[in-house]
This record gives sequence, structure tokens and C-alpha cells, in this order.
Amino acid sequence: MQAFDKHYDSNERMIIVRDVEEARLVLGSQNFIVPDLGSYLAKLEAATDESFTFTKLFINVSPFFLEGARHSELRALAMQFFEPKNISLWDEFLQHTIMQILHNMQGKKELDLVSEIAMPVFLDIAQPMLGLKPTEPEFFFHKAMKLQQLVEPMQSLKRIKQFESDLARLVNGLEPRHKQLNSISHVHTLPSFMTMMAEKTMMDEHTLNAFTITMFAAIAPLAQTAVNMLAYIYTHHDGIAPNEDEFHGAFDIYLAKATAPKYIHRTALVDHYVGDKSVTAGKTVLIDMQALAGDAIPGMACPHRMPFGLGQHFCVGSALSKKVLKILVPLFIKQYPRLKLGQAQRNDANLIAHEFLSFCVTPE
Amino acid sequence: MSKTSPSLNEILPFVLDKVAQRTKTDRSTLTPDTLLANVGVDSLAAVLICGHLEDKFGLELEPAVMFQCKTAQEVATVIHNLLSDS
Repeated sequence: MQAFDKHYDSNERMIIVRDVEEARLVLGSQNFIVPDLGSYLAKLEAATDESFTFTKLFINVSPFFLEGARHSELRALAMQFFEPKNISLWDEFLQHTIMQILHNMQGKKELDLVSEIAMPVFLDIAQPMLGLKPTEPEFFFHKAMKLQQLVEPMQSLKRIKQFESDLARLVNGLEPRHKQLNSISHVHTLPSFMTMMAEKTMMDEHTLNAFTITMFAAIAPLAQTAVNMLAYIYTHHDGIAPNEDEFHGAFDIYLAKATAPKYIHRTALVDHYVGDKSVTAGKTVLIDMQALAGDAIPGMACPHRMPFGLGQHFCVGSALSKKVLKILVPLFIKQYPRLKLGQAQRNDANLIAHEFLSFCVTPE
Repeated sequence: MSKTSPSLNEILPFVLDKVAQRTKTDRSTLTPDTLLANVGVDSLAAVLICGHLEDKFGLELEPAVMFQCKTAQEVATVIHNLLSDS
């Protein structure tokens, strides 16, 4: 049993869903909502002397914690940047940047895919596209990535207070927005996410910063998935990479198997049945993403896998994620047709995402 | 002088006090074997109670423990074991 199963299986206020049809029911139903962290924080404030100003600010611009009109509004705004048509404007940038990432790895006798792949996805792709320029880069990187753990159900007061402290520093720790210069073509400038949102909304500086940071935190799964996918491919092919055609043919399987989110978290609004499980109002439902990937193997169609979720909260960054993976992985396997697998360390403390702390390989 | 960890008899009353406080239950009606679910320990109360326990005993305690344990006795035992192990 996985670490998070042990953590949550014995909790009577939670059920874990591992069946595809049951997952579809939950994700497609308005009777199951994303965690209402905003209301929860308000109750915590009322019951303690604590103030969660920055966490509430962050929640109020995070589509992942919102439902209804506010969610629709923010999602529509975010999709103006993340829609396939706008993302395709960044094709040249992505191609060039990813080639540069791979170029930087050449000649190295040993590679840690976390530092060689995951970190550049954040620093060289996500930050420029979003228009983020942190005043404390290392702090920003480490703490912004941890924000994905806000979706964990039932966190301790100590952790929530730490998030508040970190968010205050993150939201206040960005240099004023600047346009992203497309370094490939100096003829035109592509607006970063932050620039686009500044032009389209009346958000003040803190709110705009928080909105952009939430998108950065949401890109954590892409960086993690990229490493997971490479780890899966080489592990399941005895260190020998498939060719490019084989890769594209099995992409959906690889994605389902490698997707970083461990579970999708919902709360039941009303009493409901999920399969034969009785779910009372207020109960937490965790959808096990790895269980949904099931026993699918490359070559098999898998139309019912849902690595990007389903319904109103379908992943905003799916177009960008697929594009990055479909550029990065083929280039990587072309550069490294054979790898000797070394030490790998998973982050078992991360209860909501499959994440390697390190994944070492040696080119052959 | 070495610092010894609190005994179960010291931990349990504190747990019961905080359960009473956060569920607004009459303290005199609570026993070590009272089912926490029956006195209204919900997720908010669990977080608040664990916050008190963390501050009092200087440890990190996941609120989920308030649902994994059925009674205050079981919670106190978990805390005692954590303190003894550290």
C-alpha cells in the first residue's frame, strides 16, 4: 500500500476511489466540489488568534480551490494564456529552450534527471512564460513548489501557519512585471502570463502576483511528470529507449502512468453513493490517479484514463504539458538511446504528488 | 537533570480538556473511552485540538490522528508513544 493510502485509508472521513467509472461519476458531478479552503480558513481564524491574509488571497485567485462564478471567471482568464492557440505562439521558445536544456546535459557522465530536467522546466520555461522574476530565486523555487500541498486534506495548524508565512514572502518577493522577450525572435515580444493578466484585469499588484504564483505552483506536476515519464520509459524498457514513433504511439499510456498527481481531492456536498460506498455530506473523496492508470500497457488504447482530470476543473495547463512532453521526451530519447539506471529517491513525504527527489542515470 | 516525557496520566486529561473545549462539550461527561465522533470532533475541531497538542507537547501531529483514533485514550497513547520515541 502506498504511503498516502496508509495515511488516509484508516480515516473514516475519507474514501479512496480506484475505479474509473466511480472516478468519472465524482469528477463529473456537481455534488462533489473542490475543497473549500477559503471557508475553512475563515473558520480557523474565527476559532484562533491567527490571521491567514495571504493564504486567503492566494486561495481567492486559485481556480483549484474555487467553484461557481469565481472559478469560472479565473479559469476563463487563465485559459486565455493557456489555450492551445496562445501556447502555440510559444512553440519556437519552447523548442529552443528544451534543446538548450538537452544541450546542457551533453558530455556529463552522470545525470540527475531532477536537476537536469525538472528544475529547468521551472526556471527556464515556467518562470519566463509566466513573467515571474523572484527577488529570492532559491526561496521562491522551493516554497512555490510546496504550495501544491495545500490541496492535502486536513493539514495541521502548524503547516497552515507555515504556508501563510511563506506566501507572504512569495507574494511580496517578485520584481515588477515585465514583458517576456522571445529570445529567438527579437522582432516581436510575447506577453507573459502576468503581463496578459495585468492588461485584462484590474488586479492589484499583490493579487496579480498571487494569481501568477498559483499558476507556477500548478506547473509543479508538469516538471514532476517529465521526470516520472522518463523514469518509467527507461525502467520498463531495461534502459533502452523506444524510438520516436513508438513513443508517440504510447504517449497516452506513458502519460497515464507518469502523471504526477497522486490523487484528486473532492468533498461531497450531499449524501451520495459512489459505487457501493456510502458517502455522507462533508466526506472527503480522494481519486487515486495511479489506480486509474491501471494495467494499461503501450500499444493498448486507453480512452478512459484521465491524467488531467475531468469536468469543470480539467487541467488548465494540459495543452502546455502535452506540448512540452512531446518535444522534450523524443529529443531526450534520441540523445540518450541507452541509459544505465542509477539511484533514485522518491519524496515519500509528498502525499499528493509522485515526485522524485533524485533519479540518476548514466549515458551508455 | 534529564527531562522525562510526560506520562499517559498527564497527557490524557489535557487531551480531554481540549476535546471538551473545541467541541463545546461538558468536560465532566467525557471519559477516556468516549467516542470522539460522538461528541462532534469534525475536521475543524481535529485541526484545532491537534494544534493545542502540538504546542503543549512540542511535537508534530497530523489532524488525521483524531479520526484514526476512536477515543481520547487512543490519542493520548499515540502522543505518549511519539514522545517516548523521540
